Amino acid sequence: MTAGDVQPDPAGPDLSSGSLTGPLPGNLVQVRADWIDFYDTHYHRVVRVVMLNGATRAEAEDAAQEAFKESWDLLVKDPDRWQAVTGKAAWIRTVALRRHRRPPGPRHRPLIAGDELPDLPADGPGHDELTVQTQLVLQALRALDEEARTVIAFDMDGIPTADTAAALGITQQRLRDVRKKARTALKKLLTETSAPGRRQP
Amino acid sequence: MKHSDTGDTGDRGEMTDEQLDQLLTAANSELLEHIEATANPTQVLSAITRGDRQDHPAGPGGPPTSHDPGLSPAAAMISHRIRARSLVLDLDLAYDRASDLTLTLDLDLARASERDLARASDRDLTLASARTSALALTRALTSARASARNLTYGLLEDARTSAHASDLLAALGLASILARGLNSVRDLARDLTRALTLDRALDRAREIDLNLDPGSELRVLRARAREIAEPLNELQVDASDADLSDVEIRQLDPLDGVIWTRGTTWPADVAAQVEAHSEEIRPGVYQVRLGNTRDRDPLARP
Repeated sequence: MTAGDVQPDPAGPDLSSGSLTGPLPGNLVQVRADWIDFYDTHYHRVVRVVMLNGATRAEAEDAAQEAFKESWDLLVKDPDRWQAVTGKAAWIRTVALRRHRRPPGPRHRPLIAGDELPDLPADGPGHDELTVQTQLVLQALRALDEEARTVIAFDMDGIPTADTAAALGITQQRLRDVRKKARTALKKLLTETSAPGRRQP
Repeated sequence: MKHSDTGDTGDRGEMTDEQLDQLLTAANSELLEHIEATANPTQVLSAITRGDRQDHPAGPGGPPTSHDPGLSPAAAMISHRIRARSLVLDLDLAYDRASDLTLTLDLDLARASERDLARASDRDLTLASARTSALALTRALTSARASARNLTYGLLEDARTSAHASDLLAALGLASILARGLNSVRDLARDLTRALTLDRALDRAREIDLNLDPGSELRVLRARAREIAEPLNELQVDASDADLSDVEIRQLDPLDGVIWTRGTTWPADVAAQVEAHSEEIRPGVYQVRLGNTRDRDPLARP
């Protein structure tokens, strides 16, 4: 993406324009079908990225659901703008992270009406069933600052550097600097906690 | 993930870049497995797209019944049947392709191995055959995936307002799971295709044959496709006075049991066949009854 590209703001696109009514032309049916593919491919991974950024499972699911809802709304109201979004994988993750960090209105509004109460938030991811090593990685990530955590989480998810930098609104050089510092910190933290005989959480 | 830009500090007892990557990759995989095992994305998907409908302004006489206002409930249901049938047939084809590939790997490569691949031309022939089968499998899986996607989308459009909402939602859940399963099988097939291009393809192919078996996964997916299609075929479809002229009907099979009247508009190219395979069940009311006629193309396949 270049500086001249117009992208909906991941923090909240203007959805005021566009028509909701009328039959769908064939290409829009295809766009919607592609969105379902996109959802299928990325939903679990977006939940994971938010968890890697310190969210509980319930918080991560809420944020992911709100992000996909936002992308669906954008697609329905202005399909051209949705299609114009480059680096959709980075975009949806960025929206989810912003939803997690700065939730609009009442927090954790359940998207699914109904029959289940959301899990109560815990101090951390709170998954006793995860191995100690994975919990150590999550704990080490929480020790990083917000930007560094996001860069590492996007790296872990295979998001291209250029897309991450664009989604975060930083230069690629800045991203490389953040990554280098974050990895050095992670190595130090994980060496301290995960080596045999070292301190465990 | 490889970002070895921090310098390897292993000699000072600190973790190396490679060790860090291994730790992060393992944690990442475990976390994803955990999420996949416990999340219900289909329910979320349904909730997200349901919001879309709730946003639609209601027209005269109540909320819209479909994104395509011209599609009658009967036409929608017949379309679901056609899509489900298409998925079943695509998966049958994919399964056949997977069987071809397995046969190639099992027999041709085994035979080549016995000859110690003495002749390069034998090896090349074997590899070409395996590659062709792997590519055909990938293409068949891509087609099946598109069918699953079309079915999912169609069900999603119709599920909330249909008189058969609960049946359609059940089919939607299965179709969504099936589509994800197809993604993973297609990835396997692609891996296989790539692996077969390597120089030491025989060893790799043996390894793949032992560890990756698209056929076994496909057996499960085929069964699931039938689990989707058969209940859809059993739902009663009343197409009395309905306009079905825009429904693309290539076989009569999805029409079995459909009730219709003289006011029903069929696509011109099937109208005569429908009439020939229908019985009058009440004065002026007909039902398509295929039985075991030659036009019927049963889903049940050995």
